[in-house]
Amino acid sequence: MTPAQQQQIEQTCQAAGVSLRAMNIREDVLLLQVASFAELPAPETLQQLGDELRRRFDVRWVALDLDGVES
Amino acid sequence: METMEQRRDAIVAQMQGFSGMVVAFSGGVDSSLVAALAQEALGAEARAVTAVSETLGQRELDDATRIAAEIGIRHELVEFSELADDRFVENTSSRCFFCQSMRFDQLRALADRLGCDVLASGTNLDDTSDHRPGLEAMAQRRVYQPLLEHQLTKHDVREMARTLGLSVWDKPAKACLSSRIPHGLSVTRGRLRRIERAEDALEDLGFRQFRVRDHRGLGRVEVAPEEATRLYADLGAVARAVREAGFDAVSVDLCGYRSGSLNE
Repeated sequence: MTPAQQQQIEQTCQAAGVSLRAMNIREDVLLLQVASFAELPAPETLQQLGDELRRRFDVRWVALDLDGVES
Repeated sequence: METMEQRRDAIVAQMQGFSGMVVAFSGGVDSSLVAALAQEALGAEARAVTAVSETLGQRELDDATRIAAEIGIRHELVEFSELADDRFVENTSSRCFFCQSMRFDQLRALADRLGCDVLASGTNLDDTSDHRPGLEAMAQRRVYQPLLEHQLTKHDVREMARTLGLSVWDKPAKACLSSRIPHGLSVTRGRLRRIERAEDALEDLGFRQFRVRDHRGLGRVEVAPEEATRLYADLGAVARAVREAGFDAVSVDLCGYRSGSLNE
């Protein structure tokens, strides 16, 4: 993924109310690492965000990385 | 337009023309409905047979045993190993063809031993809309598919099962555990068991319609939209449950549960 694409993904997430601290791709899954699990938008918004990212950036799966959620 | 009762009567009447039937029985709503109709039509000449292999979870087997008892149909088990066939382990897009070929060969052999002339499955009309090479394996083996033959959709199946009083009428679809592993990544006993442990743990947390997909140790959890609010309120418990099952990382799919999402 190019830096320009990463920036576009960040902006798309920001517009949906999701602040990212990082992202990466593992096994065809675009993993989004969020700044705060406590400040996620409504599930419907997250679903729309996932659909939009899949469509615009041609990724098979988009998922929220749960690393750090328990701490 | 036939009523549900007329369609049911038509299937039972058709089944009464057979001398005996083995129903491929997973304990899901489709095969449970076929088993219940077969029991009504043929009584002791109907058998529900569960094929026990590495891709069947223990809870599913327990469920199948319980539901067969509820229906009152004779229940038998036949064991086989999908992992013994490299073409299955390789996990190409034809995986289901090899699996169902093995499964129905085993069931056919048992049906022959029991003197049953018909081998039946719970395939319904909606199953034909997805990529399911397993259907070809059944077609080659002339498996009787009463729900498909009588044009029952999944919705129709649930409605008929409900009117018959079957407890599984609203049981979520489960599918075989290997369907959680993307094509190209081999199916192994270790992967199947950690998927089973993770899904059992999520079931224990109260989720009903979900999958844990296994991307080489990355667990990707898909949950149905109607359960998403609970999911996002409980992310810590979900992460812990899936990690303890043996995954090294856990994620939640933003788009939620979709049947056959690995074929996308």
